[in-house]
Formats: sequence, C-alpha cells, structure tokens
Amino acid sequence: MPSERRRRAGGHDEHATVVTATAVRLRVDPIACDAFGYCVELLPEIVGLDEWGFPVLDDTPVPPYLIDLAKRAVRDCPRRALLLERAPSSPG
Amino acid sequence: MIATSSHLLWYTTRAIGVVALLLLTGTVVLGVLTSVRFGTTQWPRFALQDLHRRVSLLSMIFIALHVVTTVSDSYAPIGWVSAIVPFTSAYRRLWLGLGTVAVDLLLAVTISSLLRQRVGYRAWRALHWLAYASWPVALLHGIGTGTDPHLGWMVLLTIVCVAAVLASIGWRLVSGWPAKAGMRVGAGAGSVLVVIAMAAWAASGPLRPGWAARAGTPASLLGRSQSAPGASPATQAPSAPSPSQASPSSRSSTSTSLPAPPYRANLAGSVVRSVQSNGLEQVAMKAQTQGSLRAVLDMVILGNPGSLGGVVMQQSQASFGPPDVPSQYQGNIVRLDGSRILLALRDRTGGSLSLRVDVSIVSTRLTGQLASVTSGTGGFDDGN
Repeated sequence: MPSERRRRAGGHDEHATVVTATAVRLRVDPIACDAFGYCVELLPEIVGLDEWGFPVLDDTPVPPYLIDLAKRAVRDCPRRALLLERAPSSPG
Repeated sequence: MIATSSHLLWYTTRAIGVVALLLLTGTVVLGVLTSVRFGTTQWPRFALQDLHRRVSLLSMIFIALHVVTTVSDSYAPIGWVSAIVPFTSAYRRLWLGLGTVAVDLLLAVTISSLLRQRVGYRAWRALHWLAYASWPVALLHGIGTGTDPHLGWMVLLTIVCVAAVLASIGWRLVSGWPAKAGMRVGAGAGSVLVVIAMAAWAASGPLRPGWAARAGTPASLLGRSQSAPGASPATQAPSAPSPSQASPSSRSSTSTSLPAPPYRANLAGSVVRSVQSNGLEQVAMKAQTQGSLRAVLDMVILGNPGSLGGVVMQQSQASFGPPDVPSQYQGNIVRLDGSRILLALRDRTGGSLSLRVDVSIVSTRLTGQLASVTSGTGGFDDGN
C-alpha cells in the first residue's frame, strides 16, 4: 500500500537515496562522520557507539516505527554523514 | 502622553528590535553550544541543535517584523529597497544600513540552512560562518540607530548579550582540537578587541548627547546651551499645540500637598533624548525637587532641529505635582529660551500655575532650579 517515495537527499548522486516505507537501512559515511552523536541519541535502538564515540550500524532494516526518527537523524546530522538507503535484500 | 496611535508603529519597531537582539543572541549562543557539543542527559545534543534551529527561525520572524514595521511606518523615510540593499536610506544611512547588512547575512544563513540537504555541507558551513559576522553587525545597528541604547536597562541587556556571546565563543575557542592554536588565540583576542572597540565607540558616540545629529538624523539637543553658553540655541516655540492650556495666568489654586506659591526649589533628574520616526527629536526630562518642597516635574519637548544646535519646539507637554499625584498640574511649555523654560500648567479644577525652570543638562543628568512665577514677571508677554 505505501508506495515508494523518492527523496533526493543531496545534489550529488552519492547522496541520492530511495526510501521505501518498508525496507530501508541506515548507513554512516565514516569519512564525513565527526561523532556528534545525534543519531545515537535519536536511535539508541539501532545505532551503537564504538569506543571513540562513532556510530556503529549493522545492515538490519530500520523497523517501521523508527522510520520517522531515522529520517530526522539523517536530516539533523551536522556532517550529513548519515544516509537512509534501500536495504539490499528488500523483498520489494 | 507621547505614545499616541501614530507612534504605535515606532514603539513596536523598537520593542521588536530589542526582542530580535535577544533572540539572535540566543541563537548564536545555542549555535556555539551546539558546535562545542554541549549535552547532558536532560539536554541531549540533538535537542540543543533543534532548539538552536527553532530559536533562529523565531529570531528571523522577529527581524522580519522589525523590518516590516520600520518600512510601513509612514513617517519614516525608509523604503523597501533600503530593507534589502544596504546604505541606501536617507535616514541614518550607515546605521540603518548595518541593520540591512545583518538582514542580508542572516537571510543567506537561514536560506542555506533551510536548503541544507541541497546546498552541500561545505557551502552550508561556509555560509553559516556568516552568522558570527551578522551578530556584531546587528548589535552595531541597534546601538547606532536605536532609540533606547542609552537607557539603563538597555545598556544592561546589551552587556548581558555581549557577555553571553563572548563567553560562548571563548568556550568554543578553548574546546575542541588543539590544532590551529594560533588561530584560536587570534580569534579570541580579535573578539575581545572588537568588544572593547565597540564599548569605547558606544561610550563616545551613541551614549552621549548629540548622537542623533551625528548619526545622520537632522536633530540636535536641548542641553547644549549649558556647555556652550556663547551659542545659545534658537529655541523659540513657533506654535503651542494646545492653546487652550497656554493662556498665561498665574493665579494658583493649589491643593493636597503642594504648598501655595511662591516657592522655589532645586531640581535633579534625568533626560532621555530620542528621535521619532518622523525625524522629530524628543527630549524627555524628569526631575524631582530637592529640599522641603516635594514635587516631581515632567517635561517633554518635541521639535525640529534649530539652526544653532537647539530644538525648535513644535510640541511640548509638562506635568507637575506632589510625588503622590505627579500630574496634578498639566500643561505645556510656553517659552523655551536656551536653558530657561516657562511652563503654563493647570490642574483639574482649572487652577493654573506658572513655573520657571532653569535646567542644566550634562549627558543624561539634569539639574536646575524651579520657581513659581506670578503674572508679569515670567516673560509671558509673547506667549500664546
């Protein structure tokens, strides 16, 4: 039912993400990330911390009830280092 | 009193400007706190950043209102072009233009932040540095062209704002990576120097008498005559605004705690000068009598600049009474000659009172003498 929504997260292709209502995951750009930690504060359920304060993410899809918070974390990331992208094993 | 409906926009502009300064200061402080990554369990970092964003949008709204009320004030010769293009205003070109510069800088900051997902991180960050420039420019604008900066509470507010921004910038400079230590020391020293320079400038310029004229407003001050006795300003009253109250009669029917004339007393008080949006200068004097006679005197003069540095009075209001009933007598100035002021006042029952006031004004301090006058001795022969 929820149709695929296209969202251009940036002007460049590497920032272009396709967000679906079901199967998305968060990815962190380790080069851009500066360990502000907003994503950990906003999404403690799925974002861990390493010993240096940088976020640790796994490949599991973002649960639907956290999608809005995940979008906010992407939007609020001071370094724009957080991306939402389609999970590779999305059933479609 | 002076706050009639035609001045409503002007008062609104001033009030909104003060609020905008406070909000902008809050925005800067919150932004710096965000950049030093301040956070507690009660105030996580993302919440502080969110607050920074919301306060910044609020300050932009107030700044927009400040511009709208300024431009739409029909008496002020400030157009929409001057709201966008700096230094195009005939009214206080420099100081108003600084406000326009601040608006333009903040627009760039705000728009780039609203489009942060599109403009790219580097461009956004570069533009965001302009926020540090916009704040002192806005402050200069407020001190340079504001009506109220010399008032005690406004001085206090300004000091609080400067201290808050300085403290937060200092925090930012000492926190973070020790790289570029020289640049940090330089930035800190530069900030302190800017503040010292601004304080010195404010003390020698806007907070001193005569600033309105030097700031680009064709107006000057009443109290000059004391400091330059040779050049007594042309301070004739071309028209009294309320002729019904100006009929000179010194028969007095005092009541309550004022003694019956004649009396005289020394005065001490304060003077507040401001420029109305229509270019008229307002000189508001409040004084209390010293000694056995206990009374308060309020005088407001509104007028155009005179050729010799005085105010050509167009309107005036005055009130006099015991401290409990400070406006027992009301009326206006019927003659203004240098530092000598003649008042024609009436109380509610129609009893009239004439006063001669000699004032000496130094900065915002007023001292002088007050004396009741009887008909024929007060120089009312050419009054209205």
